[in-house]
Amino acid sequence: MNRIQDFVESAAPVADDIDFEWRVMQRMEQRRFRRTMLENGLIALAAAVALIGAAPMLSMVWRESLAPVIGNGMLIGTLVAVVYTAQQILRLQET
Amino acid sequence: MSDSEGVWISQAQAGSAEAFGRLVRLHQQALRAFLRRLCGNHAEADDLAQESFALAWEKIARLDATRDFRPWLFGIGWRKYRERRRGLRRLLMRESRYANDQDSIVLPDLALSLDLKDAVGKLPPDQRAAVLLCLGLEFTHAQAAEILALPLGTVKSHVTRGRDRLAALLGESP
Repeated sequence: MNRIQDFVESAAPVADDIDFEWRVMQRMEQRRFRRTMLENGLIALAAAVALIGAAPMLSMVWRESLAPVIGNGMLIGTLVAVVYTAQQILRLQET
Repeated sequence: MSDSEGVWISQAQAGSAEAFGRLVRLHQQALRAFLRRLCGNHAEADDLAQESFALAWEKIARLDATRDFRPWLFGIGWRKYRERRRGLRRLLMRESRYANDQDSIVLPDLALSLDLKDAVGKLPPDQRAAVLLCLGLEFTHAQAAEILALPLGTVKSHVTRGRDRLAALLGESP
């Protein structure tokens, strides 16, 4: 049954198929991108759900403790700073 | 498995895409030849091979150091082929009002001209894969069993029956 070996070998592409290797790398990158997007989406969803769940408590803390001390402007500034820092941390982890 | 291949596997497991690229270069020819003969369609087989390598890259960190890379990779390729085939079968079943059971469906995968191509195409997929792996690519029965996720005895039986059936189809003595 050496004919089977010849049969399989006759279907083999060239040994150095740069185009194929490039396509594989491209597909690896696409899959990595899709997975990252999915992970980010899930994190965002989890964060949204957590925020919704914690909203009554946060509201109470804000009214009773923070509002008398800091104003709305400072709160927004703090939130922006937190989001920016989180983004930088995630970016550092990716690299 | 050569020493350099072992090094590339370790490097790929540590996240080196360049080392994985070397593994792609080393195995693409055999994997594509196997899938091409399994599918009968070069474009589809190359697409499956690309998918197989991409999935292998994602899972390579989990590859046991005691296992050979090649049978593991071919196992991924075989599962991808079966997934694709199941999808195609479902599509055909939806579209064919005459398809009463799965066995009656003939997959349009083998527009082949040579006798041997015809004969191989007439083997059931499991048998065809076992014959191609063991007789065409010199995998051992044990490796083929690992790739196809079948018991060793079943693989041996597939190879023997496949060879006999090919001989019969080609009008030769086994």
